[in-house]
Amino acid sequence: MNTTPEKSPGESGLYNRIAVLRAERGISRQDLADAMDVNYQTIGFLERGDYSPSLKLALSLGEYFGLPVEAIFSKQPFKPLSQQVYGQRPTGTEK
Amino acid sequence: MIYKREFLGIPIAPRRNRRWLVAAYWLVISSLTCGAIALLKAHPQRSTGINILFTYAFMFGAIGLGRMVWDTSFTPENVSAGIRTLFDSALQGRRTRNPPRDEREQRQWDKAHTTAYALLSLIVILAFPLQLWKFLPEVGQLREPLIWFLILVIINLPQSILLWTEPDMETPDES
Repeated sequence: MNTTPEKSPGESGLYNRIAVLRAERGISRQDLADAMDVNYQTIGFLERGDYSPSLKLALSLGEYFGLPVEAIFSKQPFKPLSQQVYGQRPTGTEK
Repeated sequence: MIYKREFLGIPIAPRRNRRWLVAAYWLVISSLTCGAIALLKAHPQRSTGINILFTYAFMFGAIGLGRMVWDTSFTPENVSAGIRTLFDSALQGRRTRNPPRDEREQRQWDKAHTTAYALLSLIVILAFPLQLWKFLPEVGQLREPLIWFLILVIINLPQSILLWTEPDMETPDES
C-alpha cells in the first residue's frame, strides 16, 4: 500500500509525512495544532509543504509523534512505506 | 491571524470574497477623500464640521477593515481593544484580545508590513521627481482629508495585503 504518494513539496521545498501520521493516529488538525500551540491553519500549511517550520516546531512534532525529525521531514520525496518495509516496489507498479 | 470567518454576514474564508471586500474598502475610502475635498472646496466656511464628519468616517473605516482581521466587535467593552489593535504591530499582539500569533503568522505579518512599507517608500521616492505635492489643494484645510487618507494607508495597507494574499481558510477538521 502506497501511503505517501510523490507530490510537489510546496513552497517550502520540504516533503513531509504529517498528514499520514495524523491520519494514522486519528487526530484532527485542531488537535495537533493545540498540542503544538499553533493555529490549525499552520498545520495545513505544513502538510501542503507551503511552510517550512522552525527547528523548535519540527522537534516538537517529532516529539509528539515519537519519531525522529528526518522521519517526518525530508528534502527528498519519501519512499512508499511498502517499499521501505519490503525493499521493492509493490506488484503492479512496475512499468 | 485572520480570526473571523465572516464579516457583516459575508463569508471571508474564501480569498475571493476577501479581495472583493478589500477592493470595496479602498474604493469607499478613496471616494470619501475625494468627496471631502470637493465639499471643502464648495463650502470652505464649514470646514470644521466637514473635517469632523470625515474624520469619524475614516476612523470607522479603519476599524472596519481591522475587524476583518481581528475578532473585535463594536461593544463598549471592546472599544479600547479596538483602538489597541490599531497599534498592534508595535505591541506585537501582546495586549489584544486575540491569541498570540504563531511563528508562521508572525512571519506573514512581518512580510505584509515589509511589502506595505516598501510600497509606501516607493510612493514617497516617486513623489519628489514627479512633484506630487503640486496636485495638493492650495488651501491648508483641504489637506486634512489627504492626511487622514495617508494615515489610513499606513494603518490599513499591511492588513489589506494580508487579507488579499492569505489563501482560502480551511476548517479545523479538514483533512
